[in-house]
Amino acid sequence: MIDTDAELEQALAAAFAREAAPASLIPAVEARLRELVAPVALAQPAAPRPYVPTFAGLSLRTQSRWTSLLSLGAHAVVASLLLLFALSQWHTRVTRANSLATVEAVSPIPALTLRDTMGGGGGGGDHSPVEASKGRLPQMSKTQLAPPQLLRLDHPKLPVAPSIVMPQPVKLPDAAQMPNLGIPQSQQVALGAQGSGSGSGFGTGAGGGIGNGRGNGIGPGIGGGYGGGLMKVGGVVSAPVLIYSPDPEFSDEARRAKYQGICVVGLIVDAQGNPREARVVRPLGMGLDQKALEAVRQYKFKPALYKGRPVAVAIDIEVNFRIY
Amino acid sequence: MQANILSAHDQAFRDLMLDHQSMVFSIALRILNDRFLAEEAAQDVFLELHAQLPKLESPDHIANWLRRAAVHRSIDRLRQRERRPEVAMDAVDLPEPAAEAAPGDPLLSRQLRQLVASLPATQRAVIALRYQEDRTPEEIAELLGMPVATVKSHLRRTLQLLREKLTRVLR
Repeated sequence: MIDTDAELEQALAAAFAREAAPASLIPAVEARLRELVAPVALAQPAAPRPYVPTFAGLSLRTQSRWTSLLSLGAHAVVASLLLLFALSQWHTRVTRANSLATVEAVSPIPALTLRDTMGGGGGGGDHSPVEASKGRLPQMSKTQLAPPQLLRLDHPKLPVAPSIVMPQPVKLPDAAQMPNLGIPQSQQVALGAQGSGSGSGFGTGAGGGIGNGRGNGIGPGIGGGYGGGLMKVGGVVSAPVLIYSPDPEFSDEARRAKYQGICVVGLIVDAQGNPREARVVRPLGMGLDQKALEAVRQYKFKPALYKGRPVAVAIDIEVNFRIY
Repeated sequence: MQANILSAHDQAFRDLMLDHQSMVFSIALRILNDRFLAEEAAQDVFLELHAQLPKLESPDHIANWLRRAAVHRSIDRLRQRERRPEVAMDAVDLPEPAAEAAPGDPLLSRQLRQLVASLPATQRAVIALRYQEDRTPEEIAELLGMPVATVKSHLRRTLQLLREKLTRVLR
């Protein structure tokens, strides 16, 4: 029984607990913010400050027709080169080159002090049970047409020098005298091998690079270049552009319950525009998180650009389940 | 279906909204008594926050700013609508709480919320800030832009009114 003011105040405190905001609130605010911002690229902020967001929507830079044509032409040339190279690779393996020499020890790759936009790395191998063998580094280039690998064809029809992706030329310790490619720091000289990774390249990672990371650069990081980190959108790194996004399915639970909302998925968009390592950052529930992941795994992007070069970035994506 | 890619800055603002959306929505709800209107008011508050953010210096400053904005936007919205007639006790067809209802009893809680909802806007705001947001009378005075004595007077009179109405309902 409420007899005293104290008891009444207690009752009021119990009655007036906060309520959860509707799930539609934040998406509605973000939608209205997008409407307010003019659809041109915003100026880059001078230095990052806390609590000063610039809500930069994705935008297309206007280009002159000449630049567009040039870009189209360059794309066509690269595309046809890639196609020709791919066609030239349609041969069974002939021999494994086995000519290794003994060489002096090579110093380990120095740790790179990362600036906040630099990141990247690489890895590779060919599922070999043997550790990658010692060899010199392949040449460095801004894009990779051929991952480094042991020589398979004596006289390829279209010789393309193997390379690893390095947006800026970096001096790394190398065993330059060796005739074959490999990992300069490796102690393994008995058997030509590319290591237990995948995607060609050398090492234990994946993706046509060198090292135990993922990507076509060098090092333990992801996405080309050299280092140990992963780039993020913002500053000099442009956002990747979504070019193919199949709709996610609704789960039965959610459809019956007419449950809708946004699931935030974190993922890496690699330098080829493919989604990797999708994971749920903010769940939605009712089986929709799994559906969101399935959809995001099929997305295709134009990769993020760093100084005009495609790089891998870590991004978050909202997958919006709406019942119309 | 839409897929939007968030930059680090968008994510920071979204995190702010996640931290404070319950507070902002709940304050609006207590004043407006309407979930739809409360959501609209909350949206307005966050849009304003986005514009004001460069001037706000700390998380506490932001939280306080949001409380003030939530109250004022909600009262503004309320005044734009027609004034609702005070709900007569006879017209309320709620199950009555048991005579020995204690603080925390769900029916009693609902009764109290209904009673507060029938009060004028300023008193609703004072009750929400005091019992939902746990603000002192001094803080409430600063948020609402009125003297502390006025706030205390509102609180006293509201408690008295509630006790009278509650007693009538509970008998």
